[in-house]
Amino acid sequence: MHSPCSHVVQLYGDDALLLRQQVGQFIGEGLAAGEPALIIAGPRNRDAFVCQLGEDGRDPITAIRTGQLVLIDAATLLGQMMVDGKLTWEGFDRSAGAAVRELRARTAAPRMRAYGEMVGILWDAGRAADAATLEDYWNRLLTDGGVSLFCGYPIDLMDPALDTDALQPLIDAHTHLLSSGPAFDSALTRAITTLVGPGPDTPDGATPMPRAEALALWVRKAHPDRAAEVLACARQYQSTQLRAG
Amino acid sequence: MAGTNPGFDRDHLAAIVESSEDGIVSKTLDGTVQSWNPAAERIFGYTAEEMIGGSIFRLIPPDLHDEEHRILHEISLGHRVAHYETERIRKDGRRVLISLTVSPIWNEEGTLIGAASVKRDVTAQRNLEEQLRQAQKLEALGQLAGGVAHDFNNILTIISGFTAFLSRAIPPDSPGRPDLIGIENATERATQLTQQLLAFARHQTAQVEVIDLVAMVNETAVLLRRVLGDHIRLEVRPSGAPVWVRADPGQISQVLINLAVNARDAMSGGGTLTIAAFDDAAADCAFLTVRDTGHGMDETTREQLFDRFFTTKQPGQGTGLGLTTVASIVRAAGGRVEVESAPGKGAVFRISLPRARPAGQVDGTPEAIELRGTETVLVVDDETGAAALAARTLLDYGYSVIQATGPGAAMIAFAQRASPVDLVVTDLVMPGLNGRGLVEQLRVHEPGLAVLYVSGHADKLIGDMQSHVGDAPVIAKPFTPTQLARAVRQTLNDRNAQPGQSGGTSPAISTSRNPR
Repeated sequence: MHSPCSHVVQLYGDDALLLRQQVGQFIGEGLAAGEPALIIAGPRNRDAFVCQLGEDGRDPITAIRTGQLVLIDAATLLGQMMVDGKLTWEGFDRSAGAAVRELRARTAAPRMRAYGEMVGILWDAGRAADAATLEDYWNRLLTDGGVSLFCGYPIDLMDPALDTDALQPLIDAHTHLLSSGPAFDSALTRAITTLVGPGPDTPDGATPMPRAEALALWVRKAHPDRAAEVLACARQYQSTQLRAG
Repeated sequence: MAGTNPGFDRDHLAAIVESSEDGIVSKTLDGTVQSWNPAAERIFGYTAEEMIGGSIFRLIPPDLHDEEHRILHEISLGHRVAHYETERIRKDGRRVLISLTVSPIWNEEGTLIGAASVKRDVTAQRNLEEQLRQAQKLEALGQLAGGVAHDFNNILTIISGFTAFLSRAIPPDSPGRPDLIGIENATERATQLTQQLLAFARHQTAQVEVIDLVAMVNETAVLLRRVLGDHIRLEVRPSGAPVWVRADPGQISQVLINLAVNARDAMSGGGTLTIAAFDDAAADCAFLTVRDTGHGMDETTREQLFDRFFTTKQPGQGTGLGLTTVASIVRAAGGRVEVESAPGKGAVFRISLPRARPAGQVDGTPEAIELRGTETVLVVDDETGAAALAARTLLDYGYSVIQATGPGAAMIAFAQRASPVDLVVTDLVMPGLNGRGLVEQLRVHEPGLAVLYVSGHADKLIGDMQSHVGDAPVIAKPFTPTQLARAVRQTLNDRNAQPGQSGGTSPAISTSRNPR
């Protein structure tokens, strides 16, 4: 699922289960391969990921006890890296950068995985530009190699009010955008096909992403007058599928 | 197209009419009855001799005469009235619900000479449907009430627990003491109310204990007087000595109330209800009898008395579940219900239950257990308030406590613990990993870890699982701080009593029970 040193992003809206399963798989595969992992998350997601690792048959207790899995509170770390309420490279490097380096040095592992949702906190606070800055800092840190990063944003691609202009640079900061799940894919594809025709096979976009996610962005540009209707219809299809499923 | 074979004579047709299950009646356009088959006789109670030549209006309630005039008018226009549901009056005065199809009758010259009607008694069918609707409504109400009461129960557990802490902390002469007592009393009343709601919703877990039937009857009598009303005299004849049984006191109250309601409805003109509790050492049985002076029952009614949905009451006035509930409660307590009754002779319900030894005589009672401890307990509940209450309780009893809100937090706390965990007290039902899944994860690392499950859904567990899940005991919410402390101490004592146990070597989770 994840190529070495990827920097992936998941837009999960309020689908905590989707995020939990994806992150559980991402971190779990790393732990199983002997890689250290860092989870920078709020308490709710942190607990859910650990729970998922247990459900998936991993051994999170040993991983935490031995230091292979390190858990850091996202809001606390974000506060530590801010200087006068502003993000700086120095602040980021002193906190998040140091955590990554310390973990790699202690485990002497060539690769490691990290999950982060500080960017999601910034997005939620209406600080999309700061989120983009933080993504840039991460990319700068990743140039050293050996680290795969998974970012989580509580963004709903079916939200007609979504500010795609603010979102696009965030997506573009990643190597690829993960799928929002089969229910999302089929509901969006069906709504677009039904209301405005099938849409392009490969919508434009710099960042690799599944077709349905690309269509969700494309329909806003190609059919601005009908986008809200298409997205509402897609949401209806999705909720019907989830109920039936 | 309908028709008859030329060889099919009037005798054949008459035989069909005679053998029909539906009432088949012919009448003139002014409503004079011309023919009346045996089924009509069964449905309405009148013989053919009584009806033929008489008016059909004899069967029609006065308030429905206009309706019959309208039907006859439709027939006079040559129209048919099909599957019309209405009421008729039997000879004995009872109303029956019938489905009616009325068709015009023409003679060979094509002149309209009357009407033929087919009448089907649908009273039983409609009653059954009504009962089903009532049952479904009750079921839905029960689910709603149960859901709300369940959540409310959890909140009350927290309120009453923290109130107990306050009560211990505030000196008896503090000016705030009366306020605290007010809170305690209100909480107690709210707890009783939720118990009633849960009982209604059948979500209540039977909280079996050794109780004195005599005391139960005396306590419930206050409520029964209100249920019975002024026109019925209540006589309580308890034995002079306590009568001990093992049962849920709430359920025994429910039995008494249901029987009293049943008796009240059998004594609409007034009467006496007599309740007695006594025991028979030779038979090793305790008895509870409820006697009324009502209209009594015939054998057919007696036989169906405990059948679900059976009722002799008017639609909407009874569910047919009251005595079924009585029977199921008594059966669950290991007892029997017998009825003696005859028309005009009232009824006696006699309940027998196995006798029990009074609580003080039972060896090794929880009261004798030292509740304090110094072990380390991991408390897990996805409800923060519930976790905090349990943690606070156990801290007060001397334990070291690690508190976790949910299974993920518990695994993290367990991994980061400084000293071994002796016991995990965990909610059974939590989002994500449930209590059992969590215990499996923890026991990989500490196989001898003692476990106490907490459940707000213990009523949904089956059989023995209401007290044990795997090898671990279950304590049902709501519980008092003392009950929790008692269960914790008991679980740890049981663990310590196992051979070679001071850390333990039992497998991840077994289906066997601890020797107790």
